[in-house]
Amino acid sequence: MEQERTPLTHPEVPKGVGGTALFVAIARDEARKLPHPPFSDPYARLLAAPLYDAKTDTYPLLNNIASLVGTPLGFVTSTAIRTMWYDHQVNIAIQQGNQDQHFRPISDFFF
Amino acid sequence: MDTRAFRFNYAEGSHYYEVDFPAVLDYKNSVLEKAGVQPKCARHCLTADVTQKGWIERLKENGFNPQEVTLYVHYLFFFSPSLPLLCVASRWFLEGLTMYLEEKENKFVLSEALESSAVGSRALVLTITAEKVAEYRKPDSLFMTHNIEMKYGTSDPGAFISSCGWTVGEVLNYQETCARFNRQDLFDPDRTGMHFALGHKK
Repeated sequence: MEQERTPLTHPEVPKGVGGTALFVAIARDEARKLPHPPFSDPYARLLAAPLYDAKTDTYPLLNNIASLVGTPLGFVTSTAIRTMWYDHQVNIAIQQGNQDQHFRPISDFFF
Repeated sequence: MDTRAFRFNYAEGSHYYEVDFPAVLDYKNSVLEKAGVQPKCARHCLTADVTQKGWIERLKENGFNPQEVTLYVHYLFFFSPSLPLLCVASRWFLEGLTMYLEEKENKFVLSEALESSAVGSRALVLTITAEKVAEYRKPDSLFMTHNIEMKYGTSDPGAFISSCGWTVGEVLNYQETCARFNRQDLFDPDRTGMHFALGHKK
């Protein structure tokens, strides 16, 4: 189902790219401004670029976006902790690596 | 707009599957390709509606195989049927998804993932509470104003993923997650209602 454009989207963002997907990219980019940035996502800016104002280093729509759920800072920090949790799980998976490979008896497959 | 396929250094042979709507994947791919950004693993993009049957088959058509068999083991197989096959565990990331699906659709997604997973696989699920969903569904909610419809919430994500067949691991709420990472500064009391739940395939 095609999504309608809303005031939260931008003409340069193709129709169908949901606002929420871009909101999260914006929040991940804004997270770099937090004290002790909790992660680095150099690609968030690229993805959110149509909504970025380089002169002010801000996203003018952030206030509109944040008003959906609370304050701009709360939107950024809650997205940051969400990103941290998933990133942490990716790191665990990478570290476990081969430990996640295990053997099953062939009988599991044929009997 | 997940970028983890580009941000982490994966072991050789790792595969990363992204399932999303065509417009989202097209946009992301075109932006990152234009910038010359390369994934750090074998990345597969799939456009599929995960609420409909067939999405797992689409994954398999694109190379997803939870029971990868090495040539070595395959060779030994002919000599001893008691020797094992090598299985590779998967991680299923449901990030920013469950709240936009109906409960039965979420169950379908998680059950299909479980069925196609090797033992040791994990499901990583973000949920929000039913109270939050009710709040966001009010006619005057800005979410509704902007055609963003939330459908499912739960205060007990552990019970939910358990009902889909996964063995429940850790379940943390937003505040607990901040504490886990020693980042209480990232806690905003206005944004409570998130849970992070881990399911295992035993």
